[in-house]
Amino acid sequence: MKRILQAVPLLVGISLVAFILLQLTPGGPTAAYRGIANIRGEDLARIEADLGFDQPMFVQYFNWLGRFVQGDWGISFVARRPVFGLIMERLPATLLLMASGIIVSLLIAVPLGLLAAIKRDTWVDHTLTFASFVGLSIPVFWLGLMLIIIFSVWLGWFPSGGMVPPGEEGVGILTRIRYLTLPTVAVSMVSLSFFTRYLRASMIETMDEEYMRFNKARGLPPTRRYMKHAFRNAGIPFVTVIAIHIPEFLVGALVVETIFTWPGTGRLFFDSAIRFDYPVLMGVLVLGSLMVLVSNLLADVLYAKLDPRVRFD
Amino acid sequence: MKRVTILFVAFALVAAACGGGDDGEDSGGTTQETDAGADSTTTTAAPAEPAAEGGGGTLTVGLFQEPDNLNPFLAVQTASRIVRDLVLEGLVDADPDGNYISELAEVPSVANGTISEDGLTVTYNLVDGITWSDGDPFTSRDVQFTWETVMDPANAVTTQLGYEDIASIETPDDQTVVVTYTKLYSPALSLFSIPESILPAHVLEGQPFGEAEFNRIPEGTGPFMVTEWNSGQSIILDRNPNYRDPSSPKLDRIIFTIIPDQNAGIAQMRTGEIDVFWNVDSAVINEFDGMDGVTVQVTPSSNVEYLGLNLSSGSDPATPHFAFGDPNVRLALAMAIDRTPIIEDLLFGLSEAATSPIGLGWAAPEGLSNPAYDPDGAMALLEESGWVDSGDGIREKDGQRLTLEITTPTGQQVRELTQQVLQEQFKAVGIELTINNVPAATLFGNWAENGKLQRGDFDIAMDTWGPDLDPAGFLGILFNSESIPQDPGGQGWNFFRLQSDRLDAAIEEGASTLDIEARKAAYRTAVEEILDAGVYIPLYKRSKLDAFSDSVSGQAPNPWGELTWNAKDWTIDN
Repeated sequence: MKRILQAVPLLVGISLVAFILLQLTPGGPTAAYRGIANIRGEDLARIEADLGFDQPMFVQYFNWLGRFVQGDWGISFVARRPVFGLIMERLPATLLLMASGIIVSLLIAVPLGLLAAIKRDTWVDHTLTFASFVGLSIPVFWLGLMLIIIFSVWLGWFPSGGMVPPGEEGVGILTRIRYLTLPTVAVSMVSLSFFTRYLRASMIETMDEEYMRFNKARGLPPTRRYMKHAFRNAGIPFVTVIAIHIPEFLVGALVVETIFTWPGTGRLFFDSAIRFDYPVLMGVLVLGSLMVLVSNLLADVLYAKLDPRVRFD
Repeated sequence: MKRVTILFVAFALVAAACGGGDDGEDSGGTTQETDAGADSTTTTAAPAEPAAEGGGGTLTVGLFQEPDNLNPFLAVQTASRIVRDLVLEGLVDADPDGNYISELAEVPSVANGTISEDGLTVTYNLVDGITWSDGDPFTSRDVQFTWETVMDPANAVTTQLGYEDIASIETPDDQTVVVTYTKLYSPALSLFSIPESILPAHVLEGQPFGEAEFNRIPEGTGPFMVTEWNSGQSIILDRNPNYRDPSSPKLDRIIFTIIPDQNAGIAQMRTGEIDVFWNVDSAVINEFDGMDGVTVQVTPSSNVEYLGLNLSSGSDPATPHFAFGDPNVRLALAMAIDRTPIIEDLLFGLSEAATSPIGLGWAAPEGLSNPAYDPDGAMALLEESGWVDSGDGIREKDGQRLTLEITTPTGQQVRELTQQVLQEQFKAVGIELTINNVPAATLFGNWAENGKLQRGDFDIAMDTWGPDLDPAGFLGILFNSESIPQDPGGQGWNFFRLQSDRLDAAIEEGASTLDIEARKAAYRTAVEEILDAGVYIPLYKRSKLDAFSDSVSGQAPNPWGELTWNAKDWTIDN
């Protein structure tokens, strides 16, 4: 509870810094009005006054904060719709992509990490090590474009973008999975490699502990030793790492959503950044910060639950 | 106990992963998958067509930009116009030759007495029998309401230009609108029509204009109506059953799908997921070479790609630029440019050289030419002005090197390549060109936002702009000396900081009469003044490139409209 309360000033601080940085960035939302000959200086001045840009920066910030805490996230300059609604209609798509990315990377990373640790220093381990470093170093946007070229342009197995076929009603699960596949691969590649490396290291550390050698000496079968004793202990820091790592999926989604035209908050953020749509940017930033704080909190709570040596007051 | 439970769950997860193998992606979803698989007939990449009502079929258009909104008085993006042109209509429209044609009203003219001799009274006779898509009749009240809405200070509309010169709008009957102006506004016929349109009074009256549902799902008189807008994904339009011409539109449905990436759009053209791809980047147009069943439609546009030179050192017009203060240097720059490699190699020969800021339409002066490409002549001019070789091939004068900075919005491949070509061409005459591109919002930001153009923080800007059907607004905002950006408040776009009384007078004269011949002469004078000043170096005319599947027919290029201007005549043959 105390930690949740601590998060509130932190969020306000983040929002203030974000607001100042956005305001200090050269350029602004009215740049989009450029190139339209019939929008003159007096029209721009009129619009800016209407949107509140003529106010000093801190007045603008406290106006924004005051409305924000009352649940009014402002109106998008571009779409002319309430920001809260804009974000909420995009959020499920991002959560779906993140969840699918986390599940897939865990389903693959856990067995691979265990395998690499158990088969330590064999060709299996070396191959997995090499593969995970490749996975860690591939830029996500490049991977995304490669996936599109290979699997949708050349092979035609998966659609190159979107979440559902446009204009189609009653989309089946199978179709949805086809649309989800390539973005999921792109969003999970880095984390998958990272998880594999982390679990391998954590397992090896545990397996070198004295009690593990004792277990071996007393003749416990390998499966029981690895799964019950080693994994159980190596898993504690691993779960924490997963929780801390969740925001990485949010960052990954930002890039992946843009490449795969996935209609989530990441793309909303990207589009809004191009157009300097401050209210939307602030909304997404605060929501993103909230997700980071929550996942850190989750990591701490999980750690305390799993490791009897850790207790919070 | 809880710890044990969690660990058990973790174990179960691992066990599922190990045992389930590759196809265990969604454990527990197996039965559902099978069901869906049995129901679903779509196993290929092609989007399924909804059951065709009129047999007209569905057309899918790829847009790289999602429309901001569909309200013609709030939206600023071209994509908005592409979509709303199918739904909303103006009093008149423009044909490909730039002539006004009837849409919701007959075209007023001095000849038939619907425009008064002094040009201050314009009478519109509305076309009979037009209804909004909900069946309500379209009347003169809608026109009056549109004007009242634009002028209401509570509504942050993008522009009041022209509308503010209207003294009154009278509606003697449902079919007649009499617009009276306080002073002559030469592009009067564009008002209510291009690029704006008429708003439905019965839908919007009493609604908060800025947040109305109309801005997303507008009620219109056009051939189609918006039935669905899935943010970030698609906008779906179906044929308007109440459209005045029962034989139009031919198509049942048009789906706009948002594809922000050019490469993704090309891929979807190739796979047949989309039938039309709007506004292909000229940098990637060769991707369509040899692509079966796809044709690129080239539409000339009034937009001209040009170099704008800053006459001032910084933002103050009173302090001349160290190099461009001298007309010889400006002319030398123009003479050092060879447009041929830019047009032939970078633009694949799909554009032509530009010679004037007004390159298309009735006001475009004929017979203009650019200073000939002449590097030797350019060097002679620079020598004459005292710019001599500093020893490394770059000229200098009084210890100052002839180094100029060129800027343009980042992320535009053809422009970036053009800059590199210019870099070589300028270097050949002893001018060093440095490239400093910034995001569009930074370049075009207003004074308070420290926009580079507004603040005069550049030597050469590479930009595209062009006039509307009526060039009055364009010339005024870009070249009138009153449009020089300055603090405070001055937010015009004369970032050249060009001051010429003769030019100001010509722009003024062009906007002070409805006599087309007098206007042509005035605009010719204005263009000649601009070109003589040497601050605006036209490079090439921008063409609009749109990719069409060969199964689509009926489309036609219109420089004064957008892609979908005649989409009611389009057909698709699947």
